[in-house]
Amino acid sequence: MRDDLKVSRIESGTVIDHLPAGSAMKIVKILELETDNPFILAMNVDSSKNKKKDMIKIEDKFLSKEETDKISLMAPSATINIIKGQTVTDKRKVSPPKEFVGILTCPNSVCITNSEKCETKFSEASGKYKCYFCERRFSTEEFEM
Amino acid sequence: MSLKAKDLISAADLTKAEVDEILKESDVMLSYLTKRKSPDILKGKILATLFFEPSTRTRLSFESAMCRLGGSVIGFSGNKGTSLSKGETLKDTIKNVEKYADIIAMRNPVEGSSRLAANAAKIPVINGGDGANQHPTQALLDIFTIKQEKGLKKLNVALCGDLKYGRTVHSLIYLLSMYGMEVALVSPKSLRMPEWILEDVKGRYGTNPKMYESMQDVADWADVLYVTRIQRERFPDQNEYEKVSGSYCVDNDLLRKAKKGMIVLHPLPRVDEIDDEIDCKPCAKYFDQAFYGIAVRMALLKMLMGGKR
Ligand SMILES: [Zn+2]
Repeated sequence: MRDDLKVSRIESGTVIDHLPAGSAMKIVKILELETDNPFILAMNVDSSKNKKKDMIKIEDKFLSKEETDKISLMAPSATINIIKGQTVTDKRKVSPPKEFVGILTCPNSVCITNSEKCETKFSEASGKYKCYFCERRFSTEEFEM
Repeated sequence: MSLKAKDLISAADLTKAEVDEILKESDVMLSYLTKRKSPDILKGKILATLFFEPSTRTRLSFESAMCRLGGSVIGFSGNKGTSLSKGETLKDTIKNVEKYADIIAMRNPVEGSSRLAANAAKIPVINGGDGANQHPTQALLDIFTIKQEKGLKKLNVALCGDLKYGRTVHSLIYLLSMYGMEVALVSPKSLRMPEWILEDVKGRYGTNPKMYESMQDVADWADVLYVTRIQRERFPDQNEYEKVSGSYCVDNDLLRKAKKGMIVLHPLPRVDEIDDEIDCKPCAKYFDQAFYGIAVRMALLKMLMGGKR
């Protein structure tokens, strides 16, 4: 990859860095970027630890808590950089929340939340997420977004 | 500690103190039953039994318990002709029923439906079975039966049959674990207890059950043999069903190997997993279970509605 593309700066917005290689497209979909703000996608970039990573730079967009929570579920290693006036004004790692309310769909097809409109709720339980309704626990990869 | 105005949705919600109190209250109710007395504790109160899935036993047990306490019952069984078959949401149905009754006992094939109903209702909701998820009142009557017949000491309990879809065992394993019992799981590989339940009881109580595939393997170990029905429909391959079903039958041959004093429990209905020839044996406690069930449901109705003795 050309260096200038990698470092290409945005004036104001968000850089989502340290995404696992290959996960960026999923994040683009979750954040519905296709229909929204201008963004730059970099995939399979060399990261410092002999690994490849993906990154997304989005102009004039600052993530909501819901969006950050979704990213944390798909890419727990991600970092979020807030850019203002071309400089990083805030940098933080995402951390999966203890509870997801009204965001996720229950992967259990016979769960009531899939047949009747209601706010889903999942709480963290030993690294998995337990559905408040059907009581099943799911690992993060089992959720569709 | 009080269960008043609470719901009973999952065995996972119960504390040991609560179960202790339910068992204590069940003892009192049992003494009413054996003396053939009907205390008017819930006179003027109405139980709504909403059974969206056909049921005879559990529904009649709830209704009998309510009648024994002097209360009345309204309700239905089966989905046909109800508002739900006309497309009404469960939430709306509950919002209506709570205007007609003081407490709801509900069965629905959809997992988590009782939790949704409890959230929607201002009156207490009792889960009478939500799909393959939970059936807490059955587990409470099972543990009450064990207490009456064997005492609540460190017993060896084997849960046998369909442990994947069987909601009664999903509830019961929580209560057995709570009382520090040794649990063994006996099922075909394809019908094992779901991983998330095993993780949960291990995390809470340290329960780490051994797995077996034949009841023969646990016969001389178990103080309680808890048998559930394996449904033919669970097996896409009927030859496979024929092969396994033989390993899940309690008969005289199995009893000869059994530990002295072992009791056999079953949530019923049974098909052929317990031979008729066992019914008259002292170990057969599955019909007593049904009797104890009335006492337990009386206790629950009283406690959840806060009726005074
Ligand atoms: Zn669910």
